[in-house]
Amino acid sequence: MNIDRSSVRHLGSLESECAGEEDVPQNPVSSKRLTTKYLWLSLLVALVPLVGFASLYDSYFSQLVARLTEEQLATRMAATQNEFRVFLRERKFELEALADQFDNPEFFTRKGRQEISSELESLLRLQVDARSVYGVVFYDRQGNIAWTFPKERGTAPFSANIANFEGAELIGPTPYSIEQPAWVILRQSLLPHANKDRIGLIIRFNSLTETLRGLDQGNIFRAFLRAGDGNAYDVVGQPVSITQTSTQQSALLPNWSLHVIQIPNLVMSSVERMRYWLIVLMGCTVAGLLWLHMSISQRLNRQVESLIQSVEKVALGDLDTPVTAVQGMEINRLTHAIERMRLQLKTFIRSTLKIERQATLGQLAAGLAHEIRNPLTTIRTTVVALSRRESNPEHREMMAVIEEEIDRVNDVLEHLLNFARPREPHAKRVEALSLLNSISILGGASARNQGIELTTQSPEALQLWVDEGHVRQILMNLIINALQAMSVRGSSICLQAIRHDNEIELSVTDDGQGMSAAIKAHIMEPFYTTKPAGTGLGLATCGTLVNSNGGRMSIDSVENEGTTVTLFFPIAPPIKSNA
Amino acid sequence: MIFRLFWILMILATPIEAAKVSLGASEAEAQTVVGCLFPMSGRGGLYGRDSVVGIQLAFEHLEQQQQAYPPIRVLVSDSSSKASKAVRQVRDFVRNDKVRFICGVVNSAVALQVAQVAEEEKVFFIGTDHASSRLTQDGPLPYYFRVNNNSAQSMQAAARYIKEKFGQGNAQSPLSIAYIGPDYDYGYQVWKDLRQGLNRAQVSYQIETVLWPKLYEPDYSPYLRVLAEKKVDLVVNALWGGDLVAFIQQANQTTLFQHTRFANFDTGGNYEVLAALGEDMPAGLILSSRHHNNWPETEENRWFVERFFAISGRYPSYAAEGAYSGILAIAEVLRIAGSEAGDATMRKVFSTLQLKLPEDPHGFTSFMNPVNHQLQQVIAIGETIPDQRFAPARMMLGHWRIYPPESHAANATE
Repeated sequence: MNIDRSSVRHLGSLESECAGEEDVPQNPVSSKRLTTKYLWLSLLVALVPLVGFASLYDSYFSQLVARLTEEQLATRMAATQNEFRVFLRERKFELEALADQFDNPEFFTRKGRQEISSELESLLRLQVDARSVYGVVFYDRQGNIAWTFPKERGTAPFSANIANFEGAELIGPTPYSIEQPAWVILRQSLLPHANKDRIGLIIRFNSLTETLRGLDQGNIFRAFLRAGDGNAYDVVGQPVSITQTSTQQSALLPNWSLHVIQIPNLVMSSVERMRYWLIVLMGCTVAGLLWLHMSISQRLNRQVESLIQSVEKVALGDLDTPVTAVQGMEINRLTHAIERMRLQLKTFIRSTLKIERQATLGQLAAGLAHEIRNPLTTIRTTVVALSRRESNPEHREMMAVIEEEIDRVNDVLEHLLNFARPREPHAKRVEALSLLNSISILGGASARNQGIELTTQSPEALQLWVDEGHVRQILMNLIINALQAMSVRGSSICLQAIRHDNEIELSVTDDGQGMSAAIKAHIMEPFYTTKPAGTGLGLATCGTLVNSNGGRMSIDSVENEGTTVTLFFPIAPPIKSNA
Repeated sequence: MIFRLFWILMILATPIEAAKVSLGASEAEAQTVVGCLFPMSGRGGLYGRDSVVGIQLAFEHLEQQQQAYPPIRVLVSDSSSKASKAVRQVRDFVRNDKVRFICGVVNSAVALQVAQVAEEEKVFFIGTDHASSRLTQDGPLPYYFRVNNNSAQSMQAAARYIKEKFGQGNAQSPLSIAYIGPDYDYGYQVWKDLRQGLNRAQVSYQIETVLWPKLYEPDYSPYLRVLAEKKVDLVVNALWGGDLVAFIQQANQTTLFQHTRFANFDTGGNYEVLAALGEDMPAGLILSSRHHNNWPETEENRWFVERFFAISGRYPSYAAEGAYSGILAIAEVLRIAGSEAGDATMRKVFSTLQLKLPEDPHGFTSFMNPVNHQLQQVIAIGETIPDQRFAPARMMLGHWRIYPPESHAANATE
């Protein structure tokens, strides 16, 4: 015997693989799946550059802002210092100009106001026209205030806070009051004529605090002037208490200093705010990507897992369970393809089984016919001859029984041959109405015996293109089955012909006991029968004959209600007119 | 230094004759010469230009009267709102033009010094535009009279308005107030007068901050920031003219007007401010002025406003009505006392002066208080509301509350 070794090996390897599958876990760890690995990898590829870029950018941005801010702050601090000194220096020049003109010691007495000429008075008026100078003050030799100009500008005696500024003295400021703004006095300490007479300018204190404006950035930095009285004042001259450590400070004069405080918690700068928004945005992006990847990964895993389970069922031979439908474009297509494959495989296997079964039956039938029919014919001929010569009536009757049994065996063999190797159909035009009528007549006698009404319904001029003998055999078989099924209940059988587009529907409907679903599932299988004396070949033969005539057959049955067997045959082609 | 001194002396020696504007009678026929000081250029130039038209209207008014008024010549000089220049101009008026009356002066600090010089030169100074109460609070100056409301009068009315509008308050929940006024005598006096008025009206209040921007301050942003941070019930503002315009324009860029009430009780309703701001003037600001173009609706005021518009092509600021009142006051005194009357007679007539002026409502005539030489007038406080009648202003005052002088009952006559 010649054995295909490769097939054996292949089958052997398949068997071993199948055996091996039992050892492999049915649900491997999800992290080891390709989809999971791919998604984590893609997430890594997306996030690493993003986080790296954002970190570098944030670092660069914060360093840039800090550097710019520090540089700007340092520059402005220097500029403000200079502006403060320039302001005082200008006032000092004005003071020196006045001192040059007021060179008479009589001016520096209580009555000095009456001693000055109109030109000097004009000079004083011109001086106090300046917005930053409230007035001019003259001191006597005891250091007391002799008089002021204008006279309504009183000067509260204060001299505790004196700072030297380039040879002049800066006195004050006056205590803060809600009545009037504060002022300072810039006093020329050494006059050219070297006596103790001194002259001073009453300077608007707020003009000194206003020099801080360039430094006061409102929502980022607040600038304060710590004056000679030890108090701190804001840009508009309000006293404030500095509770926070100064970001930067620098000395202006002895006991006078400039302070800058960064106020992060008051109002965050727009630049800083933008930076935090960018960080938040990046965090959201990372979180969004993580969520997206996790979501896609889990969904893909679920879909693939479902698919794998369905395919594994098919692989294990379960061709009846449909592949679970999975939503998703590619996966959905794959699912449908696998489902089609399952259906085709199922159809293929069933048709192969059917063909193999029929071929086996054909061989069996041919063998039986050859091996049994000839001896039976010989036996029957012999029995007939013996019967003619037999004079004993009892023996002759026994021989007649043998003859009948031999005929019955021959009938069985005939059915078997018809099922296994039906003769080739000879299709011709068959009038449906006459066909049904003749069948009705043939079956009518048996029906009437059972008290069953057999009716036909068919339009005229409805022609089938079939082998008339085959169709008669099919219909008779179905009527006999129906009559047998109506032994318990039922009262009518209806034969009906209906035309459809390209085919004619013939149906046999009874209101008998019907079939259960379990019976119906096997009813077309050969040798399957529910009758004690049945061969189980009737419907199987019908199916074979229907198929050989290019038709198809379906059975619709409800238990205790009845059964309808429907046949579809090709319609006869139209007759060509000679004209 | 030598060059600088030389430059200063050159300025002092520069003749100011060329800057004078002459109005009224000619030099030959004039029996009395009046020297007026107004800023004619720069940020306060409109005050001077309106005052000149106001003086013209005063002469028109006098010509329409049945009584004969002695011929008056008015000389107007540009003081530039500088005390040094104004004082020189006063002396120049007295010595070269033989003026017997000085009028005008917008800036209170300048007015203080001009008043001193007027006392020295023994010429009458009729104040028409400055409002600091310092000149009238410590007893009368012999040669000083003022024909426009001062800050004390305005703030007394303001205190009554605050009490009516915001309630009296109490110690537990006093009215929180912030004050911002110009850093010179006017600003100090307004603030002092307001507090006195509130105390007198027994309003419980709490001062959150007091701010003193300098005159002609260009940038109010630090002040606005402080006011915004304080979040007070009422911001009382005493800035005037271009400063007030600049403040409101800059405040419009903040939320100040949205979270606090804003009031300027002395000059805020001046037409100059309303016209300059136009569409930028917010609604609901509490303002007043020494003269209103839409109040009172009397024949005198209507004539004054329409005639002013006919001559100049614009509507008048309160400076015009101040100058108009000043010339009418001088003419009335001269008519009663005679041009040759001595200073004592003049002073006596001034002290009992009664004038029917455009800002007087029906049934009221302005009258001089002999105790402090301050004219007594009705004060009207309103809120800005849309009003298109006086373009280019788009907001005028409405929802009026009227405050006659407290001594009205004793002095007012028909």
